[in-house]
Amino acid sequence: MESDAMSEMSKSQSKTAASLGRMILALGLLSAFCGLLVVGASQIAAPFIKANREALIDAAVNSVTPGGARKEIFGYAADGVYANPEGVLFGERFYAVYDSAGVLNGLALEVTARGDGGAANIIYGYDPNRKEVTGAYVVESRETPGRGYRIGAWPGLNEADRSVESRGFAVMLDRAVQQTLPRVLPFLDTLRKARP
Amino acid sequence: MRTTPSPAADTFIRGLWRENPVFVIQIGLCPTLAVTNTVLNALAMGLATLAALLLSAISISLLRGLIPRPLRMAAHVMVIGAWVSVVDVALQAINLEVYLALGIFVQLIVVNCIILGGADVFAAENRPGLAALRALGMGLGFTAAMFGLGTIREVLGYGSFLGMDLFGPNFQSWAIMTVPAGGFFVLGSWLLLFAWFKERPLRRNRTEEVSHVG
Repeated sequence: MESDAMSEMSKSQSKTAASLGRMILALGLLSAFCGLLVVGASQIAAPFIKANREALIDAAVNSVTPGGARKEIFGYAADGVYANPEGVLFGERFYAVYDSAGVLNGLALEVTARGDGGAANIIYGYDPNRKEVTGAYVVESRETPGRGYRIGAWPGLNEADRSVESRGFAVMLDRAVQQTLPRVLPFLDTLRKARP
Repeated sequence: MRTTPSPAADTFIRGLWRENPVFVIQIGLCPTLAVTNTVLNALAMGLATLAALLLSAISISLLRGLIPRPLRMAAHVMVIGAWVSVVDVALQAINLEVYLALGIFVQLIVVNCIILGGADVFAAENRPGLAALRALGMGLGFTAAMFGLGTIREVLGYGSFLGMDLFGPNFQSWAIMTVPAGGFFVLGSWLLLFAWFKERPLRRNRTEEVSHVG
């Protein structure tokens, strides 16, 4: 009687172990399948995504600094600015835009501003000759879609009262300008001399 | 004489029309309300969901023999998550601006009830062909609903269709249509229209009955 119970228990234990083994095997195989899928897709798409990001930033710079013929990229240093920064994060570089005669006619500054849904990457234009913001472009935001679309096409501060979302954006942009412009303005002469 | 559709055709039509995820079952409403502010966003979201739904359904159906029953939900989420990641990077590679406009809702496809429900209830129990047909019907039904909402919201909210200006510079836009609250109004109107269509045969029968009694 006792030996029957023991044998039943041992059978049930080996069944549980087998089922546990099957579960671990299934999860292992599934994880490998899913991992390969994600890594493969990311590797294939990476060059296209990089090109799209560069094109988007290019379009943003062109839209906020009209009339530019050439642009130079600069990064921020502790005691000034330096040309052609590499491997820096968004917000840690800006673009000096020159007309066809090589005269500095605009700055496009990257800035990461705080939106309602998290960080928003914005590029805004500044005209150093007229001393005014010439436009802004939302490169990336986590705001509820609808708002992001609208502010992406927003042409300038003068129309800030056009809709509620533009007013919200004006506040966000104002903060961003106050944070970044003082880092660049002391070096305008350096930028003027750095004509391409 | 009305012919009965084959089981395959019935499976496809069910998701597309009789069990349309947005207008009939009313699931997956979060992206429906949030990203239908323009036709392009709505179509992109619909097609991204369709791709994730179709690929997940086929994979889950093919792997159904391998997945033990207690692990089903976890395994399905893992497979759906992998395909949503693939769709996510594909969308970034195809059109980054649309991807950025859709925001977090692309990643959130992974917890969309349309996909989770379809995977758990149908794909895990049926052959890949049938699971694919069901996913295709549901996905196309969802895309059509998104398109319907997006069209009305873009036309009224921005005065354009797929970015093409329709009414000229004097158009007074309905600002409410560009925010998710506008999505509620438009979805409500669509549901009203669907309810009216659904009730029509019943009303006709009732009228006939009354006239017979009379």
